[in-house]
Amino acid sequence: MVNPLLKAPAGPPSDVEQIKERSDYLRGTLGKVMQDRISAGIPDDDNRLMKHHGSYLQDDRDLRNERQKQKLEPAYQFMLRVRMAGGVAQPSQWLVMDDLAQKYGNGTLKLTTRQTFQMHGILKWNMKKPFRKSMLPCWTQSLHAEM
Amino acid sequence: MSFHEYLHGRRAPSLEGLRFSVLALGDSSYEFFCETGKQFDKRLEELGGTRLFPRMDCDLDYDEPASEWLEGVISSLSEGQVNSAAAVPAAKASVGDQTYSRTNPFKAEVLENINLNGRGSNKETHHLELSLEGSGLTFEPGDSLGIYPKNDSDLVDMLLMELDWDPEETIKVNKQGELRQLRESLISDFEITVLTKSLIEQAALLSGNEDLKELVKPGNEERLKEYREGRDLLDFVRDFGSWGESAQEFVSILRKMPARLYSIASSLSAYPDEVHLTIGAVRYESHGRERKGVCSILCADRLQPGDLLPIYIQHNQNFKQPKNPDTPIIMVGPGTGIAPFRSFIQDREESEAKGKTWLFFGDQHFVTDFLYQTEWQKWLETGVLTKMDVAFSRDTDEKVYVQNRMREQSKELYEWIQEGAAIYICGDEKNMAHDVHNTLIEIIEKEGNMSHANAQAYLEEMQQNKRYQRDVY
Repeated sequence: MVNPLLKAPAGPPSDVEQIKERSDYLRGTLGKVMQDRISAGIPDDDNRLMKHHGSYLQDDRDLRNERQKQKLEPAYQFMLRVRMAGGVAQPSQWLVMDDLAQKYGNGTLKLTTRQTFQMHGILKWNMKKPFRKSMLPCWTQSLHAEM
Repeated sequence: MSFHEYLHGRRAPSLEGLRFSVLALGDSSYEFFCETGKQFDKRLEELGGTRLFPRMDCDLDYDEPASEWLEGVISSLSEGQVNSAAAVPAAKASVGDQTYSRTNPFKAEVLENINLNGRGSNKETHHLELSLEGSGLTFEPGDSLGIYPKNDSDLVDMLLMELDWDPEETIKVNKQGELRQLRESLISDFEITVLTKSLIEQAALLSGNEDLKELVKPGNEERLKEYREGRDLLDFVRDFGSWGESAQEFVSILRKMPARLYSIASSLSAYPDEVHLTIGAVRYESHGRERKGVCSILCADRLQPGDLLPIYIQHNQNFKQPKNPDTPIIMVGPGTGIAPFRSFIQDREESEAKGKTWLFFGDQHFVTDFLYQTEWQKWLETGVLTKMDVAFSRDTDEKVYVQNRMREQSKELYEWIQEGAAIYICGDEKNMAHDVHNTLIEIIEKEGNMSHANAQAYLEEMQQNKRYQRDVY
C-alpha cells in the first residue's frame, strides 16, 4: 500500500515541466544563447534549464538601479554548483575548485548543506572551462574514492 | 587628397588664364601653420595662374580674416564691373540667416548628464542631453556640435599666483571691446592649456627673459617643439616668467578659447529640440602634473542639469547616411566613436528605413564599458539593427579589437559590400582608423581575390562615391 503522504498532489504539471518537455532533453537554446556576445545574460526559460546543469544566472543586486540609468544591462554572472558524491571531497578536488573559483569566478568558494561546492561571478563566455574542469575531477575521482 | 596630389604631380596642367586666391584655414597649435594653403597658393602660381588677391592664413578664429579675404576677392573680381555693389550684400545675407551660429553660440540648457561607464571602469564617458528649444537650430545625423568650454578655475588660480596682475582688474577681451575681470576672462575667453609656436614667439618679444629669447632663435626649432609638448601656460609662466607691461598686454597674445567639436549622438526625429553627446573624459599626467581636457572635464566634473553651455551646429556633409534608405550600412565605432551611429539608428527607427545595418563596437571591458548597451539590445530585438559585433580588449589575455571581429566575418562583410553597403568609421584617428582601414583592404583582397593595389583602389573608389566615410579625431 502506498503511503498517502508520498502521492503527488492532484492537478496539471507546473509550467517548468512544460519548459523541460520542450527543451530537447534540457538543451533549450543554451547552445546559441551562451554564444551571444551582446548580453551576458540568458533568457528566463534557458535559465530554468541551467539549474539542471548545475548553474544559474544571477546579477549584482546593488548595482541594478545604477546600471539601468547608465543604459547598461544588469551585472549578469553565473553561479556554478558541483555536487560531491557522498559529500566527500579529496584534497586534490578541493584544489581544483579553488583554482577555478579564482581564475573564472569572483574568488569566493562556498560549501553548501546539500554537499556541493559553489562558485559565483562567472561571466557567460568564461563558463565552458570551469564547467568542464570541475566535472572530471569531481565525478570520476569521487567514483574512484567510493570504490 | 587626390586634388593636392594631382596638382603637385607631373600631369598637372598649365593654369594660364586662371585667376585664383587662397583662403587657408589652419590651427597655430600645429607645427606647420596653414601649410596646405601655402602649398596650393605657391603651386597655382607656379602653374601659371594669376593671383587675384593675396593668400589669407587663418587660425581657429577665422571669421574676421575670412570675411576680409572674401571682400577683397569680390572687389578684385568686380573691378570694372557695375554689379560690384550687388555682389557684396549677397555674401553677407547668407551669413545673417541664422540667429545662432558659430560666432553667436546658443546657450543650451543641460537636461541630463550621466556617466555611461559602470562602476569599476577605467574610463569615464558622459552622456549629455542638451535642450535646443528656442534656438532654431537643426542638424542631421552625422553632424557635430561645437561647445565653447570654460577653463578650470583652479588652473586659472594657479596661473594667477605666478603673475603679478590683479585678478579683478578689468580688461578688454575682444575687438568688440567687451570687458571682463582678468580672472573671469582667463576662465572664459582665452586658451591657456595649449602652447602654440606663435604664442611662445610673441611672448619672447614682450619678455626680458634671456632663456626664452634663446629658445625661439632659429636653429632651436626641435627644442621649441619638444618644449611645447605636454605643457601649458602655467608651465610656461613658471619656466620663463610673465611678459608685457600690463595684464591687457599679457592677454593680448593669448588665443581666443576655441570650440571643441563632438559627433552628435541623437536624431531630431527621435528627440526633437534636443541634442545628445557622448564625451570621453580626458585625464592624463604630463611633466609631473595632472592634466585635464578642458571641455571633457567641464562636462565630467562641473556640469549639472540646469547649467547652460554655449553651442553651435557644425554640419558635416562627409558623414551622412546613404540617400537611399534601402542601402545597407556598415558602422565601425569603438569607444566614443559610437556616437553618430546612435544618431543613425535612432533616425532609421523613426523613418523605418529598410536597409540592413551592421555595427562594430569595441572598448576595454564588457561589464563596464559597453556604451548604450541596453539601447543596442533593444534595436537588435526590433530589427532596426541587423547585426552587432563587439570586442573587449582587456577581457581576455590576447587583445581583441573591432578589426578582429571584422576579419572573422570577412566573407559576409565582403558580401555586404558587393550588395552596395556604405561603410562608416568613427572614433580614434591615431590607431583605430588606420587599423580598420587596413583591415578593409585585407578583406577586399582576400574575399575579392584581388591584389593589394587593386583592393586599395577599390576602397578609394568607394570613398569617391561617398560609400566609405570617416569621422575620426
